[in-house]
Amino acid sequence: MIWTAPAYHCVDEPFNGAERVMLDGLPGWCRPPGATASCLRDQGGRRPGRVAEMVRLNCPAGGRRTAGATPTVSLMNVLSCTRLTKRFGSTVAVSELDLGVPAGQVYGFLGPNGAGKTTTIRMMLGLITPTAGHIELLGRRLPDPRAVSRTGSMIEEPAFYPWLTGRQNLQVIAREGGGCPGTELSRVLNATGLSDVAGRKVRAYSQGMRQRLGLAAAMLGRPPLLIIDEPTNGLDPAGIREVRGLLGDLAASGTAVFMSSHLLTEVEQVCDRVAVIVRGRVVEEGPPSRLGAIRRRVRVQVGAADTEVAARLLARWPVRELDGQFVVEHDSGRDVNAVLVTGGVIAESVTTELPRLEDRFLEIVEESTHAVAAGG
Amino acid sequence: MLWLLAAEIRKLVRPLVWGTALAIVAFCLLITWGAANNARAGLASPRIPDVCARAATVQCRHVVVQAHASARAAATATSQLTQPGEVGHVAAGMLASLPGLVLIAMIAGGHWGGEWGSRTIRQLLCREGRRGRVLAAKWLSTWMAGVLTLFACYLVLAAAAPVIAAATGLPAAHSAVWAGLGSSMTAAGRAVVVLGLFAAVGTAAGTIGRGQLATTAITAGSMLLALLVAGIAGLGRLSPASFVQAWMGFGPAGYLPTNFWSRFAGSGPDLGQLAGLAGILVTIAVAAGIARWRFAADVTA
Repeated sequence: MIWTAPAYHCVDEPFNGAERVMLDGLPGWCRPPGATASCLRDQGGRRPGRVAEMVRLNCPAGGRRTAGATPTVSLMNVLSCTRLTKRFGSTVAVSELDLGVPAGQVYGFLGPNGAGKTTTIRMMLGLITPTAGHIELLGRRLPDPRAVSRTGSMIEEPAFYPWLTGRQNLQVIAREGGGCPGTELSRVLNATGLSDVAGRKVRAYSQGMRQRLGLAAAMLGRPPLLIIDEPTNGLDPAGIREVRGLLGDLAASGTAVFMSSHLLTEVEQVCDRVAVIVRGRVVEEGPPSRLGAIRRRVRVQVGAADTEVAARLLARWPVRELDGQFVVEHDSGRDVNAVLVTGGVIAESVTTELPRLEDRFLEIVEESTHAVAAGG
Repeated sequence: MLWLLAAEIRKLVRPLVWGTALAIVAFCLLITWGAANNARAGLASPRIPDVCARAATVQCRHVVVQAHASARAAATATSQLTQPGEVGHVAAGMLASLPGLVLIAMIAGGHWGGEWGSRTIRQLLCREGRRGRVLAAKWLSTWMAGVLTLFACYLVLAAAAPVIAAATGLPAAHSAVWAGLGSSMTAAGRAVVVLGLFAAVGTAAGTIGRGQLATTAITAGSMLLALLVAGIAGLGRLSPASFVQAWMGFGPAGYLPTNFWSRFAGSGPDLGQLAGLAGILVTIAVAAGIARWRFAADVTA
């Protein structure tokens, strides 16, 4: 059966390179108009195999678009939080959090300790109940348990039964979710590089091996959505690189990944979008590159004799002194240099910087903390 | 549900469970060994009052004869109870009383409370979000572990108790080897119900304690409290310990005790077996309700 719409096609059979999406109440596979399989692969952004556009057609009930109806195209979220709030007594852990994770994307969740990341993840997995708001996983609203059981997850340090082997632990976890064939166990063990130690008791595993086993457990049954907390925690550099590749491969195969991490470099390299949470509120959200580029800045170094004059000239922009240099919050080095030259100051150097995500993250956290404190 | 139960049963294959079960079986064997020795000692030197030990009056001769007959009867009864058919009463009584409670408390602590302590509860609930099913699987698997221990205990006693009786020189039993098997199996069936009660209390305790030690302590503590309450006039009738006493019909013990319950609960109010069963079922329902209510709360392990 094929449904046609002016902009998109939707079929009930998969075809090469396409991604499964949910129409209103009806699952299907969609692709942009005129896109070939190779085209879809080419549009994958940074990773090959990524489907560039995930679409949702606002079809009427039953999935058939009536003549003349205009399809609304929007990103199809496999995970969405709406005004999610959690209070523990008088403490607000998460406040009116809105998030959306599109299918096939890696979504980073950043925040300082105590910001509410783990509380949010626990709510997403149905472990704790939101005080207000709601969560939708794979088209089902929590607390529908079917949504969670189709989601792969790893929270904080993964926990296992130490008296069982790695493979036996996976067997138990698979059975808890309704069982899966032995080949699936072998697949996830291979993918995480644990095949050789699968017969060893988990009590003898290193932290890195446990972390890999946690990822293997999360990948069991090829869930369309993975929610993972600190996936590279405890891994050596080679392991971190492997996991990074693994996450990339998962995303390329259409699995959406929601991950929290403290390793900003990792987030910058792996994630398509990033949300920064501070004191329970999302204060910044977007692609990592955009997040870093929101505020370009200009670093100016002048001679000691010119410092006072330069400070006066640069005061038209937000400016601060850092390591004997001026850091000007402005996106044009040319403007800054022109002002200095006009004022009779020849700078030793004028450099336009694109702050790294790490710098931007720390700035965001600092600003938000001050804003919250000022607001009482 | 069956997959979940299979997972829970797989988790039970661990040193804590078979170690505790082994300890319970060993305890039953030791009790049997001790009882056989006591009966043999009683036969060798019956309890004769000091006055009669020295005097040779007609009255004293009568007392001495009675003492010998009584010791012989007790030894024969012990010997009878060690026969494969009858020894099921010992296994059933032990598992439906304090030793069984200890077993279930230990298993509930490790198998259920330990899920919180080791934080594996997160993984479990992320795979099976239907918490009612998780509770049911935990209860069933804990119960099954208790029932398996009961029958393992019976089998071991059936094989070892006659050997112990013969080794200690008890007089031979006058009945067939498998005499009393029917009543033993009936007692075992009743014990299965009591183990279900202990397992339900353990499951509820896990949702309250949320840790291995706390779960073990709450399971054992709540039933011990019930035993204490059973001794209070009036109120005792409503104690789960009285329900167990009434359902199992524990009687006075000879050399070989068939339970560790009646001596604490006393003979208990005469509720009758059906009332005992009804009380046990109501207690299980209450425990299930508490577990359901407590388990609906946030899991922050």
